[in-house]
Amino acid sequence: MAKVTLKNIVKRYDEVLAVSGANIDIKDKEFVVLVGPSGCGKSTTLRMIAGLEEITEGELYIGDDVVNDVAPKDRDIAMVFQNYALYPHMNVYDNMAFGLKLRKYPADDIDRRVKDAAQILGIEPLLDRKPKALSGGQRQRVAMGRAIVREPKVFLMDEPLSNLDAKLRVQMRAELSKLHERLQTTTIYVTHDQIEAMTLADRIVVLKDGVIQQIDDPISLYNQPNNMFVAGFIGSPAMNFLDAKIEAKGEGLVIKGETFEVNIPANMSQAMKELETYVDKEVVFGIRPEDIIDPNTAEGQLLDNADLVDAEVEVVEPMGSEINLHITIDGQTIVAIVDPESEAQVGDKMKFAFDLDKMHIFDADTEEAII
Amino acid sequence: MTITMKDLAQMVGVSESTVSRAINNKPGVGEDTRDKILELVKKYNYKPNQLARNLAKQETKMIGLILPDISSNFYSEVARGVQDIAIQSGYQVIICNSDGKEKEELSYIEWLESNKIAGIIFLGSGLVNDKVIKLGLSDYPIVLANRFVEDLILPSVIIDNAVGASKATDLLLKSGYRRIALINGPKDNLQAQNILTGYKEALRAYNIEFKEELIINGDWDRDTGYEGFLEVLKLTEPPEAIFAANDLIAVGAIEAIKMGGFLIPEDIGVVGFEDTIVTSVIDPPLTTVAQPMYQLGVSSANKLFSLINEDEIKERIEILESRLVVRKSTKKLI
Repeated sequence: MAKVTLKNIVKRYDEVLAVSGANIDIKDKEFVVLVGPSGCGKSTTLRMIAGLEEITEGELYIGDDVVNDVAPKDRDIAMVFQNYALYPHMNVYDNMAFGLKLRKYPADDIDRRVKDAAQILGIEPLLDRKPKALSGGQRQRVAMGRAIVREPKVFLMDEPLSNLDAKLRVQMRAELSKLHERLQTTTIYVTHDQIEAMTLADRIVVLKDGVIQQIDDPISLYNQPNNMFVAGFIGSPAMNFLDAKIEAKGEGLVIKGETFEVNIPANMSQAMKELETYVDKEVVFGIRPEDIIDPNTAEGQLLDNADLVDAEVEVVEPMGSEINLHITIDGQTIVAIVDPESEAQVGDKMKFAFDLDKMHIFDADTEEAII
Repeated sequence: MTITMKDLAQMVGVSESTVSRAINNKPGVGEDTRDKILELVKKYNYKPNQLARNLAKQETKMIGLILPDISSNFYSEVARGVQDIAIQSGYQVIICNSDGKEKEELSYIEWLESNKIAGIIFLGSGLVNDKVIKLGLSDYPIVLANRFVEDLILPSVIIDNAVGASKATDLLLKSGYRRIALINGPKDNLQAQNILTGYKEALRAYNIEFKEELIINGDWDRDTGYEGFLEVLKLTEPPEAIFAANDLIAVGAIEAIKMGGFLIPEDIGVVGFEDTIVTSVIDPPLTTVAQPMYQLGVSSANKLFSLINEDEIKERIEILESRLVVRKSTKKLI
């Protein structure tokens, strides 16, 4: 059983709190990604799990055992870092096997592990080759192979794809997913790249300044962010934020900016009670670029629940499968991703539809999500 | 206006150590704080004071060399290489004998760190322990000399024993010997395995079949050489040459060969491995593969000082090759 549990884990360096009160329950075989900006505590957390950093407070479990004081080599984990080393004078087989040889594993066991790993990674034909005869992606796979042959309970990966070029990174992401399917080993993965997190993870842990903001599966994180940080961090282009106020109108509520007004749909009745406490208060209105629609397009015709808002088009970026528009509302420029058939031009003053089923409202002070 | 780290700290309202962490991209600094600090660094064109840095780091002009046993011919030669470079750089070397024990190594690391030693070279064999990986991750200057690490890249200098072994075997083959026995170190030892790899490679190049019966494994000592030769002598077809995986094994083998009344190199050729002082005192003078021990020390120390001085290292992993030293224990080349 290779579950990993962090209970109130704290890391303090002198007077700086690098990680505060982390509680994470990672299930057996799960692929969990720790994501956040540089300095958020994700690598520190991973290293505490590895045993390469002391835990200041709290308890770390691997399986059912507390492992705070267990040496890294005894935790049955294998790490993959971004700057791995392949020894240039060893062929692929030896680069994967040398650790086992140095640990005095029996020769036939080593051979089985290396060949199994090579088969899983699709690098069997490369076993006799030296690193200089390998491509970047092949070398990355050999580095993974070195971790795989250890047959650990948990893989810990610290930004393993960061040194690869963009194209290779996309390819390796897909390979990592397939690998996880085959190996069925608990994996804890650190990245600053939210796209990597979204594509790889069963669940994502979002960190900021050492504090966990939210733990959720990718879709829930995307659709129901707990706060503005998560909302703005996950998704690219990022969610748009507009300053606004909640006002009562007739029997319902509206969100009002300087120049726009949007009805809060009646079907959000669960949130209504909460929103009523915000009447006449400042809030932040959040809407993802893909939920701002050009009503003149086919997509616009299909909208169920939308209100129209005036905006001026500042920039048009045709992306092929869609168009990114930078539009100004209330003096703020936000991004809309619209259908490629949109005829919006720079300088156009036109109406845009906000998909109200997808909107978010945040408390302006606490930045917590209200809906 | 020249500003100091103290000024920056006051402007942002944080401690100097926080400013230092932000500038050096270390963990433990909030994103907003880091941005504010870096903005001010740019605005005032702040450059860290190297002298102040050294004082703050309280580094001594000393480096540590952790090795199994200074009394070994091999390790003392490496240490000499390290020391010569250190002296040139104005540093002293603290030598720590670990007897290959992890517990001893960890003690030394702790001691060296707490005494603000500027950097450490780890010399020996085998994988480094997790503490070394932790030091490496924290950017503490570390170089591995003939030691290995799996998880990440640390500046390393490694002697390629497979190539050396291949050269030794190749020389014997070029001298006309065909049945070559290898008297080697322990079977599960990585160095011994690399020597075996090189030996096999050379045989393959001559289309000579590898025969398991010609391989003897033991310890890296004279007895292994002595007993090993007696063992292969019992074969239906005894060998024509011995490749000894180190010079001590060669010494033992030569003793046994002479006791048997055989002539070296006419009846049996011998090649050693290492080229320590031993080779110059035995008879006949030993043909051997000279391990670049001094160079291992020099290269390791050069890399360490590059790290200490924050210079770029050209080759993170440097591979050294051995060279053949042909003396009198093998026949002339055909």
